[in-house]
Amino acid sequence: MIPSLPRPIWLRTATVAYLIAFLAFLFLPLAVVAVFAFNDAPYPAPPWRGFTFDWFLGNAALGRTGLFADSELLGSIWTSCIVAICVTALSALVGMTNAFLIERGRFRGKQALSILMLAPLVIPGVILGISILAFASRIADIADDTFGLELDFLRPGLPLVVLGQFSYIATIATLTISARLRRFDRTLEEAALNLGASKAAVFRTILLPYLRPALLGSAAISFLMSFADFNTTLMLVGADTPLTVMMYGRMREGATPVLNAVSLFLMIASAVLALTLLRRGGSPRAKPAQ
Amino acid sequence: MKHILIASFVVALSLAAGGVQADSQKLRIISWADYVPADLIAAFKKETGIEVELTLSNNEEMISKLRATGGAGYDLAQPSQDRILAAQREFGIYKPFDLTKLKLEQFQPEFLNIVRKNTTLDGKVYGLPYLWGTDGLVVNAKRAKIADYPDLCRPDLKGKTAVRLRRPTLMAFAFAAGKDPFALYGDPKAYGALMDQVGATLIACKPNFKFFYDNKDQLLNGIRSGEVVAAMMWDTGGWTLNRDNPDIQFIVPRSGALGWLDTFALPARGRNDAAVYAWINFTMRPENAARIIKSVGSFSAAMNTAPLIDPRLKAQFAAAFPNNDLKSIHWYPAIPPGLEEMEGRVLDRVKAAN
Amino acid sequence: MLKAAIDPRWHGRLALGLLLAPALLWLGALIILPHVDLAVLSLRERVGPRQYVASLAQYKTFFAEPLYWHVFLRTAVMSVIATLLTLLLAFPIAWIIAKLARGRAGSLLFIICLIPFWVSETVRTLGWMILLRESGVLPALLVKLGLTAMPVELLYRDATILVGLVYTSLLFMVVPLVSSLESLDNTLIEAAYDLGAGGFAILRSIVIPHAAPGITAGCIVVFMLTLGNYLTPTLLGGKNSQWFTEQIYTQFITRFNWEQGAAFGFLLLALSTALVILGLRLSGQRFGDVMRRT
Repeated sequence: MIPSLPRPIWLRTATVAYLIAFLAFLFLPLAVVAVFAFNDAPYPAPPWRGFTFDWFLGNAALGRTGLFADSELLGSIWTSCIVAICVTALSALVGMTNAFLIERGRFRGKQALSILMLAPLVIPGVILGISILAFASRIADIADDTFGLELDFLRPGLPLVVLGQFSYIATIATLTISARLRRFDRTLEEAALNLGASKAAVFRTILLPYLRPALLGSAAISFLMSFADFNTTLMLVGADTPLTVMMYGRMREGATPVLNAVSLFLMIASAVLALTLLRRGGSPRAKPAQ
Repeated sequence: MKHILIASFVVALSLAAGGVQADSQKLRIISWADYVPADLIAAFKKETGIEVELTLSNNEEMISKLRATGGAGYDLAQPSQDRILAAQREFGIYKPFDLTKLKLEQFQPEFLNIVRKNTTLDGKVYGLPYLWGTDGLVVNAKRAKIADYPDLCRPDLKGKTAVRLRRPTLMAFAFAAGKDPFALYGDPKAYGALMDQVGATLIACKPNFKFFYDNKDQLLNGIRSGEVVAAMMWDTGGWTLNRDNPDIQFIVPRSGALGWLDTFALPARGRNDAAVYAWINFTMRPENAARIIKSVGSFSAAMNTAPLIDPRLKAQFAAAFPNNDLKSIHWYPAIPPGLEEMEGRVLDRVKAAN
Repeated sequence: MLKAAIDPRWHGRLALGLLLAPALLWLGALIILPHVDLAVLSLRERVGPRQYVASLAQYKTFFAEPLYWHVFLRTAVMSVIATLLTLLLAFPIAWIIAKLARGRAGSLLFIICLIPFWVSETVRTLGWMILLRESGVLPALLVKLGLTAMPVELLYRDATILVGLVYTSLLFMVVPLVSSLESLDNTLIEAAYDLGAGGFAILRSIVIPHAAPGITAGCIVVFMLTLGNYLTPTLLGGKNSQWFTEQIYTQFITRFNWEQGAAFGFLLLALSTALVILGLRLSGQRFGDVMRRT
């Protein structure tokens, strides 16, 4: 059971065996994705036909389109980045105002509001997507029919994707930032105010630096979640396709190893992001990709 | 921190806005794979300075995207001719063509008439013919012998065949059962009963299907890798495969091939109609139409392309339809509203069956 | 500016309003109104081109057509199974992290367990497809080991869908379990042991009651995510996936029947809400506490 109690040998062996099996289960899928990015064959499948960089560097001349020549994939990575930046910025801002609202505000219905803020996490992503899609197109239709206004941003496309992802990522940002704000020592703030600092100065010099780790942490999580979101995005995409939706389409077609290449690229990028965050002492427990 | 956030937000917004900004020198087309070859886009740009932005799609997705956008987002769509009227009546997603801006003499009159008949609403024309072809069977002759759609359900082909879970499959299996679904378009009850019957056939056949394919590449990859040995497929897909592997052949089923005809249609809120007319006139020129034929392998509705077509394609066509016998082809008439909902339910049932 | 929020004077109200505005805009325009609209949409029926009347037809269709509620039930049952399997698989690793591994080893193991989840679900599913498809790694391995004569198709099976779902959900179970097990005092276990309790009795009467909040939190989140998943069932289940979210997608995108799709959406939402409430009732916990744990 626990180290201080005697454990029979079979239990120890079983524990180690379980641990090894568990880690294999955890890493096997990722390992195959990485390995087959370098297989010299048109399909990401065995047998191993030798090592190649074609799926990264290949171009039309070689008869294989590698990641860096695949303008469609590169374009979708860029699209995902733009969406993720917007979602991150919006979530951080709204998460911060929400944190102050919940932790500092006093008003009727606060309890209900803070429960309501958690609701987006319990609503399946597909439903968030369709409800926003239907509502936005109703508004756009009304604007068009009655005022002759064409509100293109309410039609499927990147602005709607941003709003759809923001609708639940904002909750996560709110939780992260308000958890930190709750632990803030209010006497620091009062002392500064007593010493004649303006409220703006207090916010800038005391509160903001204190909240910084939570802001950074929630920004990183928001970015990753937005980048990885599929369910909500699928219902809201227009002509520009983010990476996850593009990959999904290609996977159904029977993918070439270029998808492995882009996946490996993503793994490295998110590992770097995660490690930087850990170094900075951010919370590794924060909730990553859905 | 806050400043950085705001700044990055502004940057991102302006980037996003730049990405979707209207551009009179841009033509946004939503179409099928290979329908708009890259070299043609380049030639068009050279001639007119207009850049073509292409989104690949299929009938259902085209309609649903245009429905969701109220007909915005694209300047030109290419749905099948039988799918235009119902969608137009229901959602108003297209606008009529101004035929005076088109060189109609570039179109083959037979096809022009079929499409006109099936896409005219209140005296206005909503569709023009672009490409046509047939649906039939593709088989790896070395590994299986088949003659009609029900052969896909033979026990010896278990787990080795594929169809699309879409309406052409329902039509094909109805014809193979000796019925004419198109004759029942006016009688929803009888039509529903026929669809139920076809649905039951497909459910019984389900263990035979390796997968229901959604797009061309999925099926092509399946056949190339040998996971699929026989499938319902359109003629040119079979002919493309045949070039790489002579064992793979396109055959016209005993019950007849289904003829499809894809069109040009104008989305209701397209922003660049001038470019669309220029593009249509450009693509229907014989030399350009021949280029398109070469890219997709299907046949164009343009005039005078015969001398420019690859003789191999002609030979393949002649082998499938001896004596240019197009009589066995069943052409789709326009679908009356309401039938698609019935079909949808049957397709759902097949999808969900064990 | 911030203290003003508790200040009764007018600029206090202004500050409160400023803080309240983003929250209300977010919840109102992106959560509440769209769902009200979805409800309205699901309660109408098309009677002719662009003519609609209020009706319950969409819900009637759901109950009248066996396949729809069949898929609905199947999705619910599979989600419950996936949740239980995730719990069984995650509990031992959470125990090792919280109790057996000493010091840094514990947190290192914890981080190692989290790493795969920084990568998107699409990538992880790609990995499973490469492993399991007929021309993939495992079938080839089985042939090599002489276990099967021909490569077998391991995709498109219920078990495959479950493996994928459990894999995707693990993290959301491990995190709450570890945090609830860490707070369990070792001396309690030692005391029970000294008093002669066996491993199973300790587990039942000490560990599980203490970890109950974590178990509930994990199960609720995993269940919801599984129920609402689209990617894993469609890609790993192929023609046999039969997941309810797929029905919603089909109605919306392939059949452009938004009314039917909206009704399906509401039914799924109702199911997920009902089971979350049930889970909370059974364990006697509050929603807010549960969500904060994860």
